[in-house]
Amino acid sequence: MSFNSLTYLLFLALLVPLYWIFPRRPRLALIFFAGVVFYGFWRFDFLGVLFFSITFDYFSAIIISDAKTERTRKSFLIASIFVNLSLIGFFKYFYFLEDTAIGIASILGMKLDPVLIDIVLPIGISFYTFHSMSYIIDVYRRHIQPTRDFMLFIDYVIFFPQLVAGPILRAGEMLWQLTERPPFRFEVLQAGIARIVVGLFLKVCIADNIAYHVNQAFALNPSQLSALDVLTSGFLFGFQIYFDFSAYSHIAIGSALLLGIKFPENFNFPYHSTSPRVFWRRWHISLSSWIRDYVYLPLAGVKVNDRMSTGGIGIDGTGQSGHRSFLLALFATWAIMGLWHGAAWTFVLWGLWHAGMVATHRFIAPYLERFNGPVLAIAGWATTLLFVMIGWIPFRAPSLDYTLKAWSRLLDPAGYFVLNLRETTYIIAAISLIGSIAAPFAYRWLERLQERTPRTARIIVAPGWVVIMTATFVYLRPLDQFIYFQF
Amino acid sequence: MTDFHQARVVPSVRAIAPLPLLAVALALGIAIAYWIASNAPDFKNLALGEQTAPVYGSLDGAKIFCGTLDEARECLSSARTSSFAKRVLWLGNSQLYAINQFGPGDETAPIVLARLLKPQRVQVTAFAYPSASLSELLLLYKWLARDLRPDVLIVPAFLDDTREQTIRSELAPAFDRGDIAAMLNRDPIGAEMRSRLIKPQSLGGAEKQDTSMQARSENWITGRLEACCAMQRARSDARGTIELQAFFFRNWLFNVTAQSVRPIIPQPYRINLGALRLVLADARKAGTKVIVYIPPLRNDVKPPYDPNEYVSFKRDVQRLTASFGATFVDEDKLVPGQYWGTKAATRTGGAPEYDFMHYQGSGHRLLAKAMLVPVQGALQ
Repeated sequence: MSFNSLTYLLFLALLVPLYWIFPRRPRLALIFFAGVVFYGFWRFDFLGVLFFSITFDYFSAIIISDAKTERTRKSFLIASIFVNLSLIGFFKYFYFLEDTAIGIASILGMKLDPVLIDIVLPIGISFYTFHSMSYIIDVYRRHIQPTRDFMLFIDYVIFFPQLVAGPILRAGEMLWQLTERPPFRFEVLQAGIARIVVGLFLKVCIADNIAYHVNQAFALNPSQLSALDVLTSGFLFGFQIYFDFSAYSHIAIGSALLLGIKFPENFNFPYHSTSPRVFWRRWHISLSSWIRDYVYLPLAGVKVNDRMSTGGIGIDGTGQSGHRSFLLALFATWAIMGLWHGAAWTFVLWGLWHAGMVATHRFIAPYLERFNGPVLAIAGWATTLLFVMIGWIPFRAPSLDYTLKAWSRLLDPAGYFVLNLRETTYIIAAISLIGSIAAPFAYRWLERLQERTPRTARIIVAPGWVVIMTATFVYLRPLDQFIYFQF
Repeated sequence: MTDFHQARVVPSVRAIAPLPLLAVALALGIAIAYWIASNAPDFKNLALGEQTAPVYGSLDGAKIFCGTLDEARECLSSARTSSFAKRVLWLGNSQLYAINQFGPGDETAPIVLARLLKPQRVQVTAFAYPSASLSELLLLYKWLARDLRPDVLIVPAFLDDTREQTIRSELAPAFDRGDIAAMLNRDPIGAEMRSRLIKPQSLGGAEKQDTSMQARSENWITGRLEACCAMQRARSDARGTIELQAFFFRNWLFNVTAQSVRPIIPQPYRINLGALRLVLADARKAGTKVIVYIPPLRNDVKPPYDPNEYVSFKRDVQRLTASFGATFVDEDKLVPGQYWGTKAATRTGGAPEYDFMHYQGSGHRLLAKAMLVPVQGALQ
């Protein structure tokens, strides 16, 4: 079910009152039923894959917890990870691996025929397998006790606001909230509604309208583009994906709040970051902290404790982050991060681009410390923003070839004065840039005003809400799916 | 169980938006949207301006001038039932079907030409889209030519329309028809054109054929709401009006008028001239004579082009046409200044602007007569 639809709003309107009326067991059954309906609106037949993963991990966790020997614990951990990765590997990476194998064989002078099977990627598989895997690993690490309530575990994985595109939650964050429903608080409900409205506005009024221009820009032949066009395309897509995914996160957080459940924030004005490291503490926080705790630190040989989940892959808390093993772990993690997003080499390149940014920053950061001050902050922000936006090009590009051609155009200084796109495209990119710079300042000012004089704050934001409501009412149509649904 | 949740940021539940405020904002929002929609202009003919009317026209009751693919069936049927020996296909944009200060007896150029050629037993069929690019004219030509088998094809080359980046979704079926797909697959321009097609969408979040429960449910809810609530029906008009006002505001902000210079945009220019090349190549293969003309341009005031770019554009078109042995006709000075008009302002608070695209009935008669000679030459 798409968040940006009337169907979803109706679904919420029916579900929320029942949730607050029902006692515990029927309430857990209601969440299960809601998850099945939510997922089934896309395809019911892929619920089997989801339930297979859930069942296997539920029993594996109990066995791991109850096992008398380390060998048994480890065996079931490996089995569970193997099953989850096999599922995601088959559904998501089969064609990618096949194409890569055929390509390598062709280079070696051999001919491989493709296997003719039709694989449909189950929506949300990357997210729910990560949910399940984090649970198993946390149980193995003895960070949490496994739940013995099968319905509760199903609800943790299938909880609809986070089922298909996150935020990626840990069992430790969710299970207790599902078990002990907090008392109904009207202000939490209000906050939930407000978050949903803001999310819908960002999606249907901003992201979807930028999408048109992005699609036009990326439909062009990259070798014919000017440097300014490539830069504009990268910036525009950067804004589109930010508004799209942060909109999704707003709606997910808001929907959970309607049920009294708090999700962690997934974005924190990432385009205001002054370094790549800060960027990854502010962008898709739930994924970056997941990858850090379950991939990066284990690869770097660091023992993970249960209080490390604050986001960001660029950590150097051990004081060894410049060490070769950390660098290798960094690049390996980022390649995995890229592949998690999509089964194509363009995503791997995107990941490695970010690994390069983080590694470079780690290397030069000690030299920059002596220049501390606003100039360094502004330079850091501008550089980070520029490189992050250029990095979005492979993420959106149809091929590696396209990316390399587009990037090569950036090296032509004369191309910064040639326009190949319609004038409106540049204007929209400029407005988005100005808006994204101004928004955090406006937000923080409003927050301070809210603390000092709440009444004045409400008077000031009231016209803004009218504009948001008008635009959302006019534009609400599920024409474009959320970008992260494809992952 | 440990408290992971405390270590990570959780959303603030302090709401700057209390529920009564949100409810009032929603009510006001719906009312404002309804008010905006009630002031919506006639979008279909908006680009033509107040002075200009879409006319198309017919000859002796037979439909020979069409503006949609659905209508094209009627035009093809008229041509098939005609006993005339020769056929002319004339493609174009709104200049072809619209008449400025339309008066009694005024006819569009294709109708006038059809009347002039009738005694020689020559059938004229015309098709025009607003702002049709050469890429779209290529698709239209192929779409119609299979059944029509024209002896002569008339194609205008507008500099304005080489700036168009997209291909309207109505032409999506053309990409799937075997002969057209084969032609596009043989040429790199074909792939670029395909990537510019605006995909038809449904409310399900996917393409038209989407039969998922999401699509069906959304269509059902929207249908019910539209049946019962005028406010729901008004949303599309409100969307159009908001986007139009944003466009006007942009023009006001950047001082864009009808006379502002519209520069050539290299990529679409290359693709559109590539499409013209495909038209010429395909027509030559099919034995169809092609007349490419530079359309009449208002020249009593400064036109909205860079003079050098405009000359270079005409030269490009002429060279391309000559390379396929087709006829090139430059008619940009054909229609005198007094046969043109104005259109409503295209910017917030602006005055009426010069119309550089649409002329009066007299202009249409001049163009038809100017085309008569090359058409007769081609038919011989």
